[in-house]
Amino acid sequence: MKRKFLFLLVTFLLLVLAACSSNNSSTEATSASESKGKSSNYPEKNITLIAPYEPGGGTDRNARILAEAISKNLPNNVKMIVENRPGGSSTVGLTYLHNSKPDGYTLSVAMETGLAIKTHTDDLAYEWDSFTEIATLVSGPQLFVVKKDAPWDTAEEWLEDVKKNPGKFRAGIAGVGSIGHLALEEVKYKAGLDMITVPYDGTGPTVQGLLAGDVDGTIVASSQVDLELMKVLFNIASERTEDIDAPTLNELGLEVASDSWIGLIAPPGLPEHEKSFLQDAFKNALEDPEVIEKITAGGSQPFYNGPEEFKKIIEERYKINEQVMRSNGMIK
Amino acid sequence: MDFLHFDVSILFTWSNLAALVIGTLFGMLVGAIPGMGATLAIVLLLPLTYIMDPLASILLLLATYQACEYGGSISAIVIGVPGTPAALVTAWDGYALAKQKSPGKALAYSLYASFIGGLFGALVVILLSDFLVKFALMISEPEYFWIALLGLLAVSALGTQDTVKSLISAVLGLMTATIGMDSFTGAQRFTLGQIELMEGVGIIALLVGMFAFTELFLMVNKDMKKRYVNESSELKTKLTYREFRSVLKPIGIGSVTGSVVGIFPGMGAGPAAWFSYSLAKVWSKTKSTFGKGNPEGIAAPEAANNAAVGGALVPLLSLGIPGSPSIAIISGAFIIHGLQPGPTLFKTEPDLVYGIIFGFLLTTIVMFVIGKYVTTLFARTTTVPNPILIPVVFALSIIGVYVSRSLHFDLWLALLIGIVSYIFIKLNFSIASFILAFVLGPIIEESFRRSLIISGGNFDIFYTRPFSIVLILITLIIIGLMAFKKTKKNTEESSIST
Repeated sequence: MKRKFLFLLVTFLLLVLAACSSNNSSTEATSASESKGKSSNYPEKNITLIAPYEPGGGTDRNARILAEAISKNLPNNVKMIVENRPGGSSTVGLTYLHNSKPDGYTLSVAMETGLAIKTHTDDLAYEWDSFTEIATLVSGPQLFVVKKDAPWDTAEEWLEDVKKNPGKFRAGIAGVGSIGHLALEEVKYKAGLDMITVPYDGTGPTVQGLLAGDVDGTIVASSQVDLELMKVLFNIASERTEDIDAPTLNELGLEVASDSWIGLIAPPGLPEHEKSFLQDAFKNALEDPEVIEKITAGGSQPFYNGPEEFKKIIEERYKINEQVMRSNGMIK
Repeated sequence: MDFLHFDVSILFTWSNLAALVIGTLFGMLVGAIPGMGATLAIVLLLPLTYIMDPLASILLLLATYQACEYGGSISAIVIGVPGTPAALVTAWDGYALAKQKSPGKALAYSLYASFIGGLFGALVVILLSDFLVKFALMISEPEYFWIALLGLLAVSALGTQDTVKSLISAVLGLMTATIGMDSFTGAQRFTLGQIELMEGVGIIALLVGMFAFTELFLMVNKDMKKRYVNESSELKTKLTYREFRSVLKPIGIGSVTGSVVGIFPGMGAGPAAWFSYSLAKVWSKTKSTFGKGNPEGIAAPEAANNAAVGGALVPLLSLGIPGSPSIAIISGAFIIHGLQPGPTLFKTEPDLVYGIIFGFLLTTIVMFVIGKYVTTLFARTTTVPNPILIPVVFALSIIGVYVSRSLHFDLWLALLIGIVSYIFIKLNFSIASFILAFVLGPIIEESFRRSLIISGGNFDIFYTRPFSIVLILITLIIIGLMAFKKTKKNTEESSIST
């Protein structure tokens, strides 16, 4: 029996080691980079890709799909390993990235929230333009949904009704300062609507609130739409999405187009060689049919832009958000 | 539902059965480590599901979840360290029974209760989903507020000797719960500019600090050479029919409470376990031995946390809303395969959905069978001498804290909390009241504020809805009973003294 117990203990410790290996890699990355390798040999060891959100969500899923595809094609038998550093609507992970070495071994995926929203509202160690932008990777629609039995069937009907009854419509948001929140505020601002915003903690509770009738509408990603339970009135993104039939706000004559994108960034000062290497690696991965299939299955689509365009997108969103947030008093 | 037309043979493939066994073993081992819970176990297995077929991958994760909820009771019973909020109350009677009499028996009560609770939860998913979902949509913010308030009330009823000190602990718990970002305004509260505190104090750091570290400090303080159990017959995870019958009532209480509380997102296994512990105590014939090794005090919460797994699955399959953080990650595994949980999936992929539901039933059976063999090995931990046990538990706890959020900050926080809690325990403050208030605090605050936003600032929302009225009445009755008991006790005491 004693031996059995020892065996158990060893399995225990092995398990624990396995549990930590994904977290160790980042510290290894920083310590090994002390001995500056020649950048022409990059990558010589595993690359850590930070996903600044909880595992299982959309950002984490897309990061893992891409990391897996890229690992297959990396030279020197190295891998790209996803590490979750959630918290503070991605600012915890991005701050960690900001403090990491720009050696190409620590990267992060990032969304508008961490780069162009929280940089307005929070006192952070970084600004919207602090990082080395590498590329945009995927984008997804932002769908405005109401309950299946709601009185509105089209976006026009809804817009007209909400305009007529100011301060009545209750819109649920998945969190203060989330992309959906800002998109909603942008719609309110541009269309001149007056409605109540009800903050929830995450999309799940928000949808529960919608179905229970506590709120009248909310914004979700396409993987959260179930047409048995809800109707999609419009899409806040710049283009229609294939799987769900809903007009964009541009088609309705409103100048609102907010895509929910995910981009790849590195710490400030990433050398040009590493940057273009990563840019190509991700570009190739996004053209792989298997990757495209996996990304679209989750309700997103490939959305590739190089560093300059990516920076422009962040800057544009940063400015629009500033305007919207000033108008509603979120910032002064 | 036409689950009767489901071809059960779909389930019995090698890959599905392997998924069930691997998930169960893994979940049980991870769950048994202090500070490591179901979410972590599921996250670790998630990458595997990319290459598996959908049914096998969902079953793997559900088996892990189920086994992990049981595994959480192992460290609570064997070393008195609850790894999850749900195992908090299990530790009281479980650890006491393990020390005094038999660790094998204590673990057996937990295993049998977990099995029946899990089975009950699975049957609820099969038979009562439609009804429960309708019920869940009638309960919303104002009711959450009242339920959580009721929970706070239960805190004061939970085995505490000193009411004043218990209240002080509860208030401190509520205060600690306000740390972090205000989810309504985005403002930072008491974070001292620390980005690590934006999401509040980590629950794992708190649990490990308060329970694991303090327990280790206490062990070091006591006789290091002491061994609790010497007879190996006390290590067998087995119950006689009589022993099993004696805990049927608390198991029933736990199963019903667990599956109902489980369907509400944000509540989860913790509150489910505490509510059923309190209920089991109220309805028990042997109230006085609760907290001192009463098997009923193990059976009720353990049945509840496994029943809550089924409960949390109900809103996912019926509405596409995950009922707990662990189920949220499992829903990610659906989406990886291009499947979106919800009513549409019932129509488009009935075989898959019913496969999941019936496979879920199997997870409890596999858990029971494997649990019977593996748990006996865990019970041996009590025979390990303290000089070996303490450093091993200490190392595992530290690892548990670190992997939960990958923050070094949390390690220091856990140590600080451990030292402060140790002093509090020595002064007879209740750290359990602190934790319960810490978990319930945000539910109370957020549902209160959200109710008022929904009602446009009108307080009527709290007492005009039918279920709110019921909850208010229950609360008032409990307060009344408690006051009555207290005055009765006081008059008795004064008549004795005179």
